[in-house]
Amino acid sequence: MPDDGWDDLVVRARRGDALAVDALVRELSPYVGRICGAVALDHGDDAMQETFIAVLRALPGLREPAALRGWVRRIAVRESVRVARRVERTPPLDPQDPAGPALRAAGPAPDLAAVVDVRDTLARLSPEHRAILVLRDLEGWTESEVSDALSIAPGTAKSRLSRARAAFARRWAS
Amino acid sequence: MTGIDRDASGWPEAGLDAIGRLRVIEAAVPAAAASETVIDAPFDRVWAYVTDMERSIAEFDSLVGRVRIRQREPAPGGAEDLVLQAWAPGSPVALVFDVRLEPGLCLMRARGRLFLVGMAAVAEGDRTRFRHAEGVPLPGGRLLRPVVRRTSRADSRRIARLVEGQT
Repeated sequence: MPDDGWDDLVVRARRGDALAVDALVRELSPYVGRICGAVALDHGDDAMQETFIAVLRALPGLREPAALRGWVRRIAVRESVRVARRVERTPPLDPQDPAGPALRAAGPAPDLAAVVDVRDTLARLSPEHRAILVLRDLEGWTESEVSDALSIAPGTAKSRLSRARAAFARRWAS
Repeated sequence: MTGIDRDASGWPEAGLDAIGRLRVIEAAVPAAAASETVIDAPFDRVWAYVTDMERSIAEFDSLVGRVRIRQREPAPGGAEDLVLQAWAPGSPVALVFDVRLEPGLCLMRARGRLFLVGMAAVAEGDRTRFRHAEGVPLPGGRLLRPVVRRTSRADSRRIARLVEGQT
């Protein structure tokens, strides 16, 4: 659906029209499912449900229906990282992403078009690294969109992406 | 750049089953209340009963005396869109519902009043997890939540009893 086609659905969903809410959920599900699945992995379904509950409860506050998709993806990322952190009990990355253990890319980037077990490699990354890889390399978001969705500075997003790619390549090769 | 292929088949995708979808929809409907139970019958039997709407609704919902399906059209994804009329016992006036029906999920929205009834079912081995929800998206509708919760529980119990009692 084009971004300017949400108005009617959003207006009806705000009024509590269950059929409009369901249509909205069906329309957004593939998009939200890719983010939640890749970031929260085995708990992606939980993250997806929590994403939609958060989206629908906050829907009355959405000023521009045309901005729905970007708004939903921010919530999907936030909820996916939160669910993944909760179940994996990993500490959050420092928002400033200070230099941690140096991650070194192991040789040339793998040919990921042939990937069959990407999931196993993703499972060995932190939720934050999974999130930035998915947004930038799977969904093709710009650096600015990624930093906005993750609520981090553009420079932090850039360095985090670099570390995430290196970590992915290293684990992929191991 | 790593260049992860967006069509790579290995990327995991999340999804919502019918009960997850109904839970999500409830979040958008003020005063929605739901009940969930496991029915000791296979999914096919439960869903065949629920979707035999002209018979089943009048059996399990004590506020409904008669139901008639006025229109039935196929919708994308194996779904059906229905228009259904329901009469309270002894009432000459029918409420008209727009209904979306797909395997495991039934959403009924009363025209004008926007009253919601939702039912969802998911197989759990030889048994069936079943969720029933009702909601009133009107100003002040939240005040009705205790009543709505009671009727939802009562409907779920009757459906379970009626289906489990089938031979």
